[in-house]
Order: sequence, then structure tokens, then C-alpha cells
Amino acid sequence: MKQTVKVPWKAYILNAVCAVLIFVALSGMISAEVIDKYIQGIIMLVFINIILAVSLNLTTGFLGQIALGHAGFMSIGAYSSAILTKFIKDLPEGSFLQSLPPQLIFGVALLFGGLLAAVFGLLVGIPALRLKGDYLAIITLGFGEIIRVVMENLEITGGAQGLRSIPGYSTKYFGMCYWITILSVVFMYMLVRSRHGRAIMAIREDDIASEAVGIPNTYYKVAAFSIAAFFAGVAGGIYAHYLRILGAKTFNFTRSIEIIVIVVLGGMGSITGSIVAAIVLTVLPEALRSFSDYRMLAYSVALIIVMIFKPSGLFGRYEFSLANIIAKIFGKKTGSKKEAVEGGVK
Amino acid sequence: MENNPVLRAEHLGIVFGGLKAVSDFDISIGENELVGLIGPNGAGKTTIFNLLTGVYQPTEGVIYLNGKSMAHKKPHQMVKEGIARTFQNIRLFKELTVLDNVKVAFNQGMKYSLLKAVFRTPSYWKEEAEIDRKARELLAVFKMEDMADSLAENLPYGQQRKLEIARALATNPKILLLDEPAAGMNPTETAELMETISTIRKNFNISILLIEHDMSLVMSICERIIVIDYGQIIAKGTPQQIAKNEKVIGAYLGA
Amino acid sequence: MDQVIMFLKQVINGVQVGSIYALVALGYTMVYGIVKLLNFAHGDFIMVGAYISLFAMTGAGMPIWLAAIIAVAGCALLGVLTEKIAYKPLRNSPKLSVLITAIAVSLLLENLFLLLFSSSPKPYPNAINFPSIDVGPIQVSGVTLMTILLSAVSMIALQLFVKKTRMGRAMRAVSEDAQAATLMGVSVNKTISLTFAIGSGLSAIAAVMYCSAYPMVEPYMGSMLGLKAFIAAVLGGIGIIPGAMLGGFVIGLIESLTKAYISSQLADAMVFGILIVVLLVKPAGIFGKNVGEKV
Repeated sequence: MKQTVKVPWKAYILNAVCAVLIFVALSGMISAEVIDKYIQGIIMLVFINIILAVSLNLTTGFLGQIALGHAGFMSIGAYSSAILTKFIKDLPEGSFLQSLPPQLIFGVALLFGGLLAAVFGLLVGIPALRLKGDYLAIITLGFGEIIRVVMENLEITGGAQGLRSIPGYSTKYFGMCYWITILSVVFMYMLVRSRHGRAIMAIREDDIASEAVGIPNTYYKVAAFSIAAFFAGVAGGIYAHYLRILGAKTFNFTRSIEIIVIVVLGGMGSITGSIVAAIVLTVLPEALRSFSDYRMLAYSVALIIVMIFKPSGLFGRYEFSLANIIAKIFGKKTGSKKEAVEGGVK
Repeated sequence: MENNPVLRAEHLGIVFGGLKAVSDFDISIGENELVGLIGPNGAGKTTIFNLLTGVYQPTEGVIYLNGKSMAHKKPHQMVKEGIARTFQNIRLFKELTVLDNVKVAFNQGMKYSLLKAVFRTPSYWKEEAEIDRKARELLAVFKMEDMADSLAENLPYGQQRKLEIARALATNPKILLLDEPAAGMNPTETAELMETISTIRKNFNISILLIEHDMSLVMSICERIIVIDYGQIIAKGTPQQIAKNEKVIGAYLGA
Repeated sequence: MDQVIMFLKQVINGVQVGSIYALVALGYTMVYGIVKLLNFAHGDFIMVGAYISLFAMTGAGMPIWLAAIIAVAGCALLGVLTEKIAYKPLRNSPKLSVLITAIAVSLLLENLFLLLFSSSPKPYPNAINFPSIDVGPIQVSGVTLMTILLSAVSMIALQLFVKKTRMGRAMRAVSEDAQAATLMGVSVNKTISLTFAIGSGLSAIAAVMYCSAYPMVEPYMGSMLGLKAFIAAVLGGIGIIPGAMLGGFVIGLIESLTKAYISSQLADAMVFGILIVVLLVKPAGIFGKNVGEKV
């Protein structure tokens, strides 16, 4: 039998080159001031929304469990990372921690925020994931709201005044945020295209059958839920260091809904879809600022229409593949079978 | 009875809301045996399957796989001990490919961790290549290798039944539980299925417990038959003995 | 003694809010019982009902009872239309699609009313002239009495309707098994429409009672209210009419006592906390039976 699973070096290199090119183009335009602070801010929001949507897609699209509390995990990451960087910033001049490079502090803070969010994901996931469907939706919503209310009423998070003067690392280290976004996407993609991803999708398809072929459903459900929470926490951290102020209602139920809208419109189970939808749904409202009153109205109508006529979202489960596109353009036969699978269309 | 039963259960029983769905069910299946489980509609056959595979926890009795107690084990843990099943109303992973349906079932035998998957370490590639080969080989046994890349939901009915059996076999079981595998099949498909069942029994050297309504199928391939009604065993024996048993005839005729 | 009076006042408060939750929960429970749809927009029907009755009174100068009737009719129509346009095409779709559509309908109503009437709250006239009564040192206001009375009457009427009438039997049949009901000659579409009409109509009554007690109308007023009513319905056992009533009272009491004795900020968190505990301990609710999935 022919060997069908091979390392798709070509696709990997192509994608890496592409990521670097985008990075060079973005940083070039920023230093040439083609991209001003305002546009840079929008791009930052795109990064944040991509991480949020791709991570929620893991629970909702690939695992098939409705979770309405993503903003709650985001808030944990935001507050905890901001408290950490603020704490270091406020240390007396010349102390050891302050002498560390700020990129490192920022990175560690994001990791800390993500891990804390993951711990909460675990704590919430273990009981909540015993439920399914509507009940899971409502219980995750409940947990999200509880997290938010508690966060807003703790002393350490600044209480009702909110958390202020958070260092503006996100804007300062724009490139770092870019690479974190890329890494998040790559992480999800590699995870989904592995035995673990197959197990997660099997649970979505039929959880009784998956258990019957030896998949530990609870383990995978909780794992996927915590991983999604981790990335939501990281995104929250970037968000906090972009906004520089966290207050009441920053992470309410509407925020969770916005993320789920991105996932659903893009296509549940398509990482490409989440990325494209995150870009479009972040840029479009800004581009159409004068119609901003109609934004949510348009969102809701679009959602209803998509659900009725194309419930699988715009991309369904399609994944974009640079290698395949190039192969098509140059009329070459697609390489090995696995390359097609590894790089793209399922 | 065999000395070393692959599957053994004693005094198995379960109560649903005060109602005894199954009671005092004994079974012992030896290596490479093919046993039929029959009974009228609602007699509790599928409930017995659900008990034997850990979907329901029995309120009474214990199940042993290869002499090991399965008390308080979850279905996926029991799969590890060598029991696999199919479902009466086919439960495939509909929107996964045929190949992936089988690969999912190989999961428990695979080792690479989540991080190794994300970093695509050599162990990922090695195991994935191996599983790809094994899954395709298994599909070839069922003459389904050409359909590897189509979605399971797009297969014709008979092929879906076969895929479900292939998927169960991918877990490397010692005993396979088939829940009405011939349901909804036409006579040609049924004949083909009977052949498949005897091939896999031989090739994979496994025991099979079969629920079936098609009496001709049961009578022709099973060595032993257990008949239940109202959750209790009413007869056991060879097909010839069962065919003559008055209790069985009574149960089926509703007398 | 003061403490006791204070406590009793909070209890009465709780019962009043609770009976509003109960009214909404009745609608929720009926709709969920029949179409298994978590109608996120149900809370927003309350908001719509509030605006309709407000304009009927202030714009057209109608008396409150007439305004209430118009609001009930308006909400019933809205409920039926929503079902026909947004939910019906998805009857056989995956849960997630339906749930997201319901969220979208909720967003649509909220933002539509936001555009039409701005986010600033509008005052609601105090039009209920029901005599208050004194129980010892505690005065129970007319609105409170009226609310409790109305929700009790609605519950009993609904229970009788579902148990004793032909249409009610049709409802129960559809909720058990829509296909079998069709075979028995029940019109599933008509039954579902009727359910939405009744459920949404009840939310209009709740709107009038709620606004009489808390005289403010704004586009987002329904979302939290609806969510809590849903929690009440889940608490009592979804699909069970007396359960919704009980759940409403329990949620109302917990909320009012938390606000009084613990912290008003934490009241919502407390309600959600109760929901989580109930779902984990007895997912089918207080009156519900646990039913596993058929394998």
C-alpha cells in the first residue's frame, strides 16, 4: 500500500513565508505611517477577535457544544494579566522585575492570564459539560455572568471604578500580538488535524458512538473547553493592554454573543471562516461608521438569514489552503493525498 | 460452557423508575463463539447491550471481560478491555469521512500527546502514517477502500452498516456486539452481511453476540441462542432446540 | 420586631417580582415544552408589550385595561410571526442553529426598538388603582396584590386549558411526539402558533405588571427579565406549568433577599448560581423527571 501520510514541507514553508510577508508589510506600513494609530487599533481588534473566534470555534464548531460564556474567560485573562503588568509597573524604580524587558513581562502576563482562564475553564467545564444543548448554553451563560459580576466587584480589579492605567503594551508591541495571533491559529489548526481533533469532532457527530469506540468524551470535552478558555484569556490580555482601562460591562453577555456571531457566520468547524468573519465583522462596522447605529440590527438580520438559508455559515467546514491554490493556478497535479488533507479542503 | 469466557455476566439486572427492565440475566460467551440474542419487541435486548457495554450501570450483577470485573466502568474504558458494538439505528460520525470514522476508533491505541500533535513531532507523523495504513487495510477487508474519502452520511444504507462494523473492529475487540445488523436490508444485502460476519469472525478471531429479528439469519449462523422476554431469559440452546421450544413459540406468537 | 417587618417586606417584594417571573416563565415553559426551543426573544416580547401598552395609554389615551388587551394582542401576533418567519424554517435544524436564530431575533428586537425610541428610559404611567391592604404593620400595595392575583389566575387558567380542552390536548400531543400528533389529525403548525400566541400574550401581561411596579420602559428591559424567567422555568421543571409558577416565586424571593441582605450587585450572580446548582443536581428541575437519551 502506498505511503499517504507525509510531511507537507511545501505547504508549511509557503504558509510561513506568507506569514512573514504579511508581517513585513504591516510593520513597513506602520513605520511609513501609511497605517495610522486608528487603523492600527482596528487591526489590533481584528487580532483579538481572530483569537477569540478561532478558540470558540473549537468548542462550538468542532466539539459542537454551545457555549455562551466566552467573554467571561476573556475577562479573567484581561484582569489577571493587567493586574500583573500593573503590579510590576508600580514597583519601586530599579527593582529586578522592572529591569526585565517589557516584551517578556507582557508575554508572561498573557500566558498567566491564559492559564488562569484555562483553570476556570476546567472548573466550569467539569460540571457544565455534563449538560448538552440549551442547558449547556444557559449554564455557560450563567457562569459567564457570575464571573463578570464577581470580577466587577472585587477590590483587586478596581471594583466599580474599573482597572485604570494599564500599560499600553499591545499597541507598543504590535508585532508580538501579530505573532501570537498566528501562533493561536496554527495551534488550533494542528490540534484539529490530529487524533485529538478527530476525537473532538467525533463527539460532535455522535457522543454515544464516540464513547462506544473508546473516546473518553469527558476528557476531550473538558480539554477542548479549557484550551478555548486559555486562548480567550490570552485575547483578553491583549485587549486589556490595548484598551488600557477595564470597566463594568466590558465583558458582558453581548461580548460573548459578538464572538459567537463571528463563529457562526464564518462557519462552525472552519478556522478559515472564523478568521475571515473576524476580519469582516471588525472592519466593516468601522468602515461604515456613519451607520453604526444599524450595526447590531444588520448583524441580527444577517444572522437570521444565514441560519435559515445557509446554517453551516459562509465557509461551512471549508479550509483555505495556499498550497492547493498555488498548485491549481500552476496547473500542477496536487501532491500526495495527505498534502491536500493536511493543507486544506476536507 | 467454556472454561475461559471472553464475556461473562451474572444476575445482571436494571431497574428503570421502579420497573425491572432486565433481571437475572446470565450470559457466558467463549472465544470465537457466535451467539444470538433474540426476543420479541421491547423484550429488553438493546437494554442488555447497553448494560454489557457500560452505557447503563446495572443495578444488580457484575460483568466480566476476560475475567476482569467491569463494575463502574464507563463505555470507553470497557472498549479498552475488548468489547465493541454497533447500534440498532446506525450511529456513524456522519459528517466525517469514511476513513476518519475508522481512524477515530483507532484513537485509544494511539499515544502522541496533544502538544506533540501541535508541534507535529516525528511521533505524530509515524503514528498517523501507521494508522492511515491500518485504517485503509481495514476498509479493504470490507471492500470499502474506494470510499475512504467520502462522507459517511453519503454512503448507501448497507455500506453504512458495514462501516459501523469496520469502525467497531478498529478498536481491536475480543468480542463484538451487533445490534440488528440486518435491519432494513434486502435479502441480497443480508446474505452478503452473513458472509461478512463469518469472515470477520474467522479473520479477526473474535466472539460475536448478535441481536437479530431476521430469524433465518440467526438460525443459520448462530451456534447458540438466548431468548428473552420481559427482560428475562426464557430459553437457551442450539438453534434446533430453540426452534422447538414452546415457551419461545409462545412468546413470539403472543400466547 | 423591625427586623421581622423588614424581612416580611422583602418577602412580599420577592413574591411580587416572583409572580412577574412566573407569568413570563409560563410562556417560556409552554413554548419550550412544545418546540424545545429556548426562545431568547421571549424576554424581548415583554419589552415590546411594555412599549405597546405605554403608547396606547400616553399616545391614544386608553385606559390601562384596554392598553393591556392591545399589548396582549400585539405580543401574541409578534410571537406567532416570529415563529412563522424565523423559527419554522429551522424546525429540523440542529439545536445550535435554532438557538442562534433565537438570539438573533432577540438582538433584532432590542436594536430595532433602540433605533426607534432611543435608549433613554421612558416613564410609565401609574394607572393601576387597586386598593392596597394593610397586614398588621405592613402595607401591601395594590400593584403587588394585582400581580400576584393575575399570575395565579393565569396559571390556573392555563393548567385547565392544557388539561381540559381539545386545543390543550393537542398541545400536549405535539409536545410528546409531533409526528404522531400529525397522524392523529392534530395540526402541528396551528398548535405551535397557538402556543406562541398564548406565551407571548402572557409576556404582555407581565410587561404591564412589571412596568406598573417599576415604571420605566427601555429597549433592554426584557433581556435580563426573560433570562431570569427562563431560569425560573428550568428550576420548576421545563414544560411543567405549576413548576414555572413555583420557580418564579423561588427566583423572586432569592433575588429580593439577596439584594436586601447580601449585596444588590450580587443578586444576578446568585440567581445564576442557583440555576447552576439545580441544573447539576436535578437537571430536569424540581418537578421534572430525569429522562436519559435513548440509545
